[in-house]
Amino acid sequence: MNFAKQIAMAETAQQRFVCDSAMDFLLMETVSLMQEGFDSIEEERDAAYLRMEQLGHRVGMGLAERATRDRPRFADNLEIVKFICKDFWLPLFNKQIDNLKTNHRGVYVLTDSSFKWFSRMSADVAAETPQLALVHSAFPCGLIRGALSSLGVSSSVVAEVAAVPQCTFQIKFR
Amino acid sequence: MTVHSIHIFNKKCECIYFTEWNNAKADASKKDKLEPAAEEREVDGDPETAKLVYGVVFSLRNMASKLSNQGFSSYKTGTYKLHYFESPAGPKLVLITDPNAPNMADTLQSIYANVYVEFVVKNALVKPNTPIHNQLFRTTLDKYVRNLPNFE
Repeated sequence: MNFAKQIAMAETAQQRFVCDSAMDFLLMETVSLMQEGFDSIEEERDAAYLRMEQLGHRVGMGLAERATRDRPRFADNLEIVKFICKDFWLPLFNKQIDNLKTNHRGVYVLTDSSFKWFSRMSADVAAETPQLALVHSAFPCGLIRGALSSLGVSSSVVAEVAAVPQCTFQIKFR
Repeated sequence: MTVHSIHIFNKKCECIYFTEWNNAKADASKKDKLEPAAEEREVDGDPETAKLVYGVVFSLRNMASKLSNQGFSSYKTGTYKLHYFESPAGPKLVLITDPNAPNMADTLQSIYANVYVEFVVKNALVKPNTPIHNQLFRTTLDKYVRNLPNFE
């Protein structure tokens, strides 16, 4: 029985809703906690981003181990990335990555056209939203990097937000 | 029937949101001020009116709770009708419409659940209980009220 099915069967819809909401709010508050008092200093902002990313890394490692429990080994890097797009994203956000592009030389671009954690974001001036949303992308970047590293791949993940709620993750294999 | 305006108050009794629509009654008194061309005018800096509204609502709520078990939900005068909704978590919604409006309690409840909770509470970029300025909330609320069956 695979990971997603296990989760689906163990919870009622309401329990799932409460868990999802609690998780969303917790992450929102973690990001603002990391940013508190650091707004003016450039290095501290980077340190906050890095901290969130490392948190995501640890979580991603654990999640990937659970999700691949019953699967055979992956044939190549493309298989690993496809796993991230489908079986890893699905239990997290109830959807898959919408678009995957690659240059076949170790760079993969994943596009999520309505990223769950950005779907309700809005700033006072609509144009500023992508910039403010960028700090919230540290955790998902870490998630992907953690999942990849638990599968044996060393990588770097960068997020780009052109317009909320769309989010693009760029994976570079090292 | 028309919806005139809406106020949202947070738990600290501050007005965190205010919008007007179709404000025919205010045009006469504010002709000398420059108004934007659109019908809807958003005035966050009308604190006196907001305080008065909150005062009325607060007093009526206390009085109603002493008189009966049910809370205060709306009152009607010759020129307008005021509807009040208080959510369990804190924010209070006050809606002012023309006197012929039907009971808007459901409308207020769904404004709270579908607009406020979605675009303010779940918004990662907004600190709770601060004045609401964000774009999505404003547009969604505007669309929602304009689509009400009896809005003109």
